[in-house]
Amino acid sequence: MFKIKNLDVSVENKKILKNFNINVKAGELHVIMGPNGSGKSTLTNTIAGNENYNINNGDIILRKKSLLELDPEERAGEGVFVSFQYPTSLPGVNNVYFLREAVNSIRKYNGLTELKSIDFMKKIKSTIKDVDFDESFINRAVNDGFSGGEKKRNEILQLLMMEPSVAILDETDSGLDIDALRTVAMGINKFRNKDRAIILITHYQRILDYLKPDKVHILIDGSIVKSGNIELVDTLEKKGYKWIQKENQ
Amino acid sequence: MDSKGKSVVSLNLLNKNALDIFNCYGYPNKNNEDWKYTNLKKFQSFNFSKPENFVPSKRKYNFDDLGITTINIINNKIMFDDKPNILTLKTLFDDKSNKIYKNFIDINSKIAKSNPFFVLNSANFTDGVFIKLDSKMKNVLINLVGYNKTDTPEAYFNRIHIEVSKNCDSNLFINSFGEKESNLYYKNSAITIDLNENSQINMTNIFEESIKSYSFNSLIVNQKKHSFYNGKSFFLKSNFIRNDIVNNLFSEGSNSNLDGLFIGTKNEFIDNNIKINHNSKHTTSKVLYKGILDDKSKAVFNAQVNVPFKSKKIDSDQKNHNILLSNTAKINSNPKLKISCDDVKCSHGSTIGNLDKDSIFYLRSRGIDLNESKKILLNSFMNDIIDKIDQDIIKKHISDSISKIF
Repeated sequence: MFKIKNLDVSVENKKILKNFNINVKAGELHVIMGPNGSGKSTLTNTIAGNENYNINNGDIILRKKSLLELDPEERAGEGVFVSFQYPTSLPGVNNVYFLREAVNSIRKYNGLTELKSIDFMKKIKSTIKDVDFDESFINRAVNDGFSGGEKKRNEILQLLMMEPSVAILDETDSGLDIDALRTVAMGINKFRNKDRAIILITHYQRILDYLKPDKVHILIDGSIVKSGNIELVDTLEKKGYKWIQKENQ
Repeated sequence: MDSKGKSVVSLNLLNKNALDIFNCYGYPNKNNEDWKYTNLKKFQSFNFSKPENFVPSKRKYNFDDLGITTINIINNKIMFDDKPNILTLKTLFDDKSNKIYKNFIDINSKIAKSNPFFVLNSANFTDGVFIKLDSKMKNVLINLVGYNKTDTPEAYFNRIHIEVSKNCDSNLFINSFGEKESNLYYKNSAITIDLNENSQINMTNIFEESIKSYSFNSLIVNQKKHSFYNGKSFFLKSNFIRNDIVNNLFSEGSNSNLDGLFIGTKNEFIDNNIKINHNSKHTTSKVLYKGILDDKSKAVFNAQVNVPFKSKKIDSDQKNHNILLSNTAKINSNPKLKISCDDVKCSHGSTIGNLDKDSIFYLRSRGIDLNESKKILLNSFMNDIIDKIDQDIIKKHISDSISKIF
């Protein structure tokens, strides 16, 4: 369903991703783990269409359609959702207004009519409960003055409201306390179904206690160097990334 | 001599006196600090004349639905329904010993150097209005309309004096606009406001002048004990617009709040000049002006807070934030403090930048296209000022006008 083929990406002439490959089928959750500086955030920004990242080779394909020539908003329209490691704050932009614009822009892209205000409000009021926000949240400015945990839960709220086909979640579990971690994991599980693909980028095993990944990939120096199942995470926890680096030498 | 004759004599005397003062100084040039960024060359090349034989007719204007006392001043002609609280200046000047008349004479020499256009207004206005805001009449809307019927460049001189009575909480709306977008006119409007003890005025100024107009606006606000001036100005459309505000906080406990939003596109020039004089101890002022400039538009934000030696316990803050949408747009921002007393709390600051690229990318990654993303960010920049408007009709009008610009 979602494929990245032989992707080479550079930023300011520095090669970051090198021959990166992944193939996520509908219904699957893949986990990417890797040390700092391995290219995880470059991957998310490239998928989202950030123009500061130059694609030198390869392709990103969703349902057999290449995303490379599409603008960020068109990628979102096609069903790509990227949760950022550091979500941007938008002072003065009200959450409910922002979400309505986002949901309706994607509906418009797909030839659907805008969601009626009453239906939208119904949906948001029920969804905010899934991420443990109270109703006052909807009138706050997007991520402005939010704690780290609130920002991550807000990303999950957007995911649940926008209902994309593929979600790339970049360290959505970083900086969360135990309760927030559970909330975020439950949100991801709620989103997960047989028609959707998820790539979760993480440093930690703990969120995987709540999620059941289908595959685990190790990203080192811009390439996936090892793939396996959940047991790979246990080995990694015990031996660290150096073990893989040595194995590859 | 009948009373009408008397008033004509006194007005002529005032006009002549002001013209003499103006002639001493002449038009300001760039050597004058207050006019450093203002180029009057093109303005001076036109031969503007006062409209003759113009007969105004009552029309429907924006904000009529506010349902409040309305005064229309169309091409120097004043129209209003008879009210005891409104007088024409001609009528008022029947009596030359009138305090307001004396003030009208005195002020010109004081202001001549920094704002010669105020003096030019005094030299040229043929009539104006005096409004008393009190418990009988708290709210008023004034439409200042420029409307050339021919292609001749015309000059309009609007003069308004407002007195807010003790303990009165009032609203004043100034809607200054050109009836036809392409009219070439010179509009010189001067408003003076005296706020009596414990009174308040919420003043909303909306400027949507024609795209060939030259608009000079002077506002002098004098405040007595515990009075509050709450001013909001929106500069939405013009060719050349100059705005001079002098806010005199004369007595203890007087407080002012000046908000402004200016939007420039094409070759527009928007020139804001604010002077706040903390003439008494325990006075506070707050200025927040925001600007968005696109294309080759230029703007000026000159603000000066003056705190003389004996004015202790002053609290003053002035901020100017700007977004430039093109490489050819320009802003000169100069928030200044002139403080001669050490027991004060004064701050000032200014920012100039572009729309944040990360924010645009974040919005686009959520499916919102580039144009809409920019609009959302511009609206978020402007909203804290627009949201301060209490009247939905005005808020909607301003939002609609802005949505036509971007």
